[in-house]
Amino acid sequence: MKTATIDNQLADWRDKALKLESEVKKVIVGQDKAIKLMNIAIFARGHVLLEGGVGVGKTTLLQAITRGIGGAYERIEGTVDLMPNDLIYHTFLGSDGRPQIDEGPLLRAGENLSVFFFNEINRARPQVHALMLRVMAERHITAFRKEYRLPHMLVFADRNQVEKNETFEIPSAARDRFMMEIPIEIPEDREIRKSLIFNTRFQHAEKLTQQVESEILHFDQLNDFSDHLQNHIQTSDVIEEYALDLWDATQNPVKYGIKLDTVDVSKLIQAGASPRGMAMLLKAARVHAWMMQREDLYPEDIHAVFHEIISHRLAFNSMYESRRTALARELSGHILSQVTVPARV
Amino acid sequence: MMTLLPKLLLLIALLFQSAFIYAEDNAIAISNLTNPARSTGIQIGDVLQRSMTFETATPQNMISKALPAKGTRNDEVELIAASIVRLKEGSKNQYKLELNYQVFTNATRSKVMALPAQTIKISSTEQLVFPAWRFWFSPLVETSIVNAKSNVQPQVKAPTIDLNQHALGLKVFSVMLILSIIGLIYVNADTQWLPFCKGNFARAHKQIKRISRSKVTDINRLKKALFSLHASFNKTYGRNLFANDVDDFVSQHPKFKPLQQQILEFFSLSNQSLFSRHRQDDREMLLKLLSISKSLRDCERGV
Repeated sequence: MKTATIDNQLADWRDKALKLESEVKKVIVGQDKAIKLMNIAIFARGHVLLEGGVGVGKTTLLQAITRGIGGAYERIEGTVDLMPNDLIYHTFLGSDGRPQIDEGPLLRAGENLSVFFFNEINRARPQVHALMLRVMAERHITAFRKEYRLPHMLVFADRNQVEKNETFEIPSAARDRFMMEIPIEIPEDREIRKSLIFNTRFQHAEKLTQQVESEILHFDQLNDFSDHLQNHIQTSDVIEEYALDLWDATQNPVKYGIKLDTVDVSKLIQAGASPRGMAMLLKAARVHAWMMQREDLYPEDIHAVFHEIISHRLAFNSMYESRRTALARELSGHILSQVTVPARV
Repeated sequence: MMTLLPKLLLLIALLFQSAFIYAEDNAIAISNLTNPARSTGIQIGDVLQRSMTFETATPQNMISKALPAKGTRNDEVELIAASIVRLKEGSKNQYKLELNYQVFTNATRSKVMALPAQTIKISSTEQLVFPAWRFWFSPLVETSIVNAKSNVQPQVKAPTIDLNQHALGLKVFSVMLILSIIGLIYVNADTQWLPFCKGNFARAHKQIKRISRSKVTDINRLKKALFSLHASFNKTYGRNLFANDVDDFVSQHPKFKPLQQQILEFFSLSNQSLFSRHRQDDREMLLKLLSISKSLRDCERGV
């Protein structure tokens, strides 16, 4: 009886997850993979860093997903003069002409905050990063002599890697707090491109996101369900060995015979994936297995999220940092193609 | 009395003479007389031989002079040779006398003929006597003469079998036999001593077969079999092959296209066995793996 209830619960949530995907796909075209990955991140309760050029639809995507999740949505723009306290409060003159203090975007919604969108996070100063990353890790903050809890908050940040002026590179320790870095690229399909520029429905982002059914997921139940889901999906000895080999390969790719064109692999890596990163990898992979209606983790589940979870965690020697996005992608691809499973009997 | 004495003396003299003559006759001893072995079917020109072995004190030259002359013809039988050979020498010599006759009759019907009786006086007191020996003469020809032409048959060469056609057939058969043997080896051989038997899947199939037939209890035997086939896929593909890559794999190796479903089935079995909590029976899984690996090996060999 209990098993049947659990199965029903898993199936119900799976239906909701798939519905969220299909709803978002109705308004965001050509980003199916990114939508799926964000859906996985939501159920794995991981923060997401979106990486892409200007005007590719990152904000619209986030707004659409937020509408589907339900709960409160807050947003802040990363700028050079943004200070940490701008996240906590802001001051203004009231109608009576006296200065007043109000809660900032981070505190305004309280526990109802489900999505916090940090636009162009790399334009903000490291002090802002530090505060933000602490909140992301601890999900609570003390202000106005009281503790604000943000248990359901997911941070979606984006960064524009095209522009380098007045930007601050996010250090590897900070990148490690994000579960995924998802590339948002301009769709290659010619028909989709044509639709994006000629179809008038894409002209008004706000109207567009209104088409997404609201509160498909109940944001305040996601944490409990995520824990339940993580406990339900099992891992075998073989898959655990495989995950350890993958981790080892991020630290010592030469050991696995990995070679990259134009790069001396033995000098490439400064630091591989962190334990937190690998834990996040397995967490996200379990969500993928659940979405595929399985109770056990398969290599394919790890592969489905490997690039997006591992690539931004790899720390390269400085001579290769300028090419990190391309190299990280290439290296993670080679790791998957060279590390075998089962590797040993 | 005076008239009786001469008569008596004459009688005594005659008795002595006769006794002497008798003694002289007894001096030759005949030990063997041989006539021809066959007395029928004798034809014109046949040579008949008879011989006599005897002992006598008479010297050989005297005997030779007493032999009948060659060419003596008697009743169409001609003596063609007469010879004396001394077999033993001593106080009494032993001789062998041979007489050869040839028949010269042209009788057209069978008739009785005879080697004539022959008396040879070798000394004044000794003689050899050959009795007559009868035989049947058989004519060579029929009574009437026929024209041989009517019986003549043309000399036709016997027909021979054309061996070239059979030789060609034998060669073709030999070639087909060799090709068939090579084909059977190619299809069924697990050994890798032939260059075309060294494929990745052939190696995996051999290993899985060995694992499945092993009597030794090994809890990892299914894992070993899966490992072997995974390794073959990876080598063939050039990198790790997973279920999601099967489409790409068959597009790179179109000869495996017909086995796409079986390849997917393999990955499903592998996932169930290696990663699932609901493990299936090892033996059943091994049999499936054996079947899949055999199909892959055959496909790899282009069978």
